[in-house]
Amino acid sequence: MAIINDILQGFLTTVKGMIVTGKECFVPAVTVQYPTEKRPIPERFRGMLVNDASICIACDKCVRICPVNCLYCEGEGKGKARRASVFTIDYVKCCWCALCVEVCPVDSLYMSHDYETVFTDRSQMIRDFCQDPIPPIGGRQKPAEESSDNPAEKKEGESNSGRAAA
Amino acid sequence: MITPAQPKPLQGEPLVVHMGPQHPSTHGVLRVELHTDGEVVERAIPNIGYLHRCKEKIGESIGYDAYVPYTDRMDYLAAMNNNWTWAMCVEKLAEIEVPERAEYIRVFVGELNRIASHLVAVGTYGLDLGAFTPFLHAFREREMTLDILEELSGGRLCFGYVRIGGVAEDMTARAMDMTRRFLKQFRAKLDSFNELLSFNHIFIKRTANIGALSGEQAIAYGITGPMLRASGVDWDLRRDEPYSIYNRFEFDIPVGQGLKGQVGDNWDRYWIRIREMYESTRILEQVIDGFPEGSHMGKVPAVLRPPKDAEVYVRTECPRGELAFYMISDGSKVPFRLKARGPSFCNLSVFEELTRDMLIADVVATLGTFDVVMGEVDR
Repeated sequence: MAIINDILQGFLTTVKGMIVTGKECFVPAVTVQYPTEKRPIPERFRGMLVNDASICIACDKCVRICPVNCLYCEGEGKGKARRASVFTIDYVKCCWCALCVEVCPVDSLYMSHDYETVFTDRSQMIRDFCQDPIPPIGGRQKPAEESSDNPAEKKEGESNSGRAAA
Repeated sequence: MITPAQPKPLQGEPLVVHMGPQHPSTHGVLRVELHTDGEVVERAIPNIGYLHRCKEKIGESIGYDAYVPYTDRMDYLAAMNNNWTWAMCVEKLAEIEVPERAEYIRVFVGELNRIASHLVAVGTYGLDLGAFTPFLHAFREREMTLDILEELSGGRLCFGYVRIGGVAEDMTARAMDMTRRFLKQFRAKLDSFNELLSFNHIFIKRTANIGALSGEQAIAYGITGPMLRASGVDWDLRRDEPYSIYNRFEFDIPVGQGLKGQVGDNWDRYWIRIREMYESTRILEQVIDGFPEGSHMGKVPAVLRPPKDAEVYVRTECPRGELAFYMISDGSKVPFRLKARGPSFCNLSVFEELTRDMLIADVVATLGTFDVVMGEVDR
């Protein structure tokens, strides 16, 4: 008798589960047809790490904090005129932790909203931001109250970087 | 006269079957050596080490703050809790104070990540036993929690959000709204999930009364987390050794009762995770209502140099059990010695004893309730 009870119970509880599944037929689909249609990205999304070499002061803070040693930086000039002459990011090593973005004193480093990146070779994954400029991709903007404190810096950042509104 | 040699009697040698390291139901790169006698497993020996990445040694060579992304990759299903434990450990070592708002955000992300982690555990457990639909339901709910965590931290799996002295970025109003929307429907979704899997008679028959772990055994093996509580031991660090601000919230600790069979069987271990998700939603509701104003980051020195010969052991309740860091400082920028105690590693130690003389199909069903994450077992 126990086995008949088991079969009956197994059938009944499975039907209960099927009802739950059946209800899903009437829920609108949420599937996104990816390459043509894209989901909106949150503002803090951490995509490819890029550096705006025109405002980078080559302070080396990011290089020191990077847990995987993916950054390399060389500077030119002294004091306020100091700028980066070589700034490379090795995307093979980068772990997208954004620790470098936090320590950056001039906000030249930021995580862009670019996530569709393809490389065919490891050497392409090392990018020098002093050689090739940043393509206009969306990235995180500075918080409003911070940028209003130094209007000069904000202007410079807007004109030079591809930090278009996300 | 020559006597013909007597034929040897048949030798009953066990057949060794290797389950893993690429087996889908070992949840990662775990290899289990099954010594089988027909359908019965005489011994099941877990072989680990396929994902060893020298986490402890790395911690001794890079700075305290730079180690946060590495803790993400230990228990990658509950990265927030791992970050949190590491941050708490360093804060205790260097005596850094954390603002109240940061503590609230930490509890918030920690509990949200607990829900996400348990949803993976119960969803993939159904998958192990051949039920595919509950997996999709669980992952749909998990998607919503991940969206909230992505809104806050920018990452979906390795968050690196909880930093030493606070959290990386402040709470947003949008994340609060998303959480309210999530909490509004999550209990109902869990109820329908129970209809789908938990109370399914076939599922109960597969899991109840199998792989029962007694309370004494669990304590003897150093089992922690949901596995320990399922065995009837009422122990949760969030209540018994309250860290952070857990003493401000009201929540119950679910303990295994053996509703469908023995205490501490596979069904109990599964059920405890579902009940913990209900409790986590309770905590989240209280956190959202009581969010204080203030800063999300405490005062942290630019170069962290904890006092010389300081020694610290911090443990927290992660979704899989107690995660602990032990650290000795020699006054320099890096710890002198770092030891991590991973809950999955300790929980896996009882596997061999629990699966003795079990059927092969039940070995998979038992391993699923352990909810091991190999990144944490090997570190």
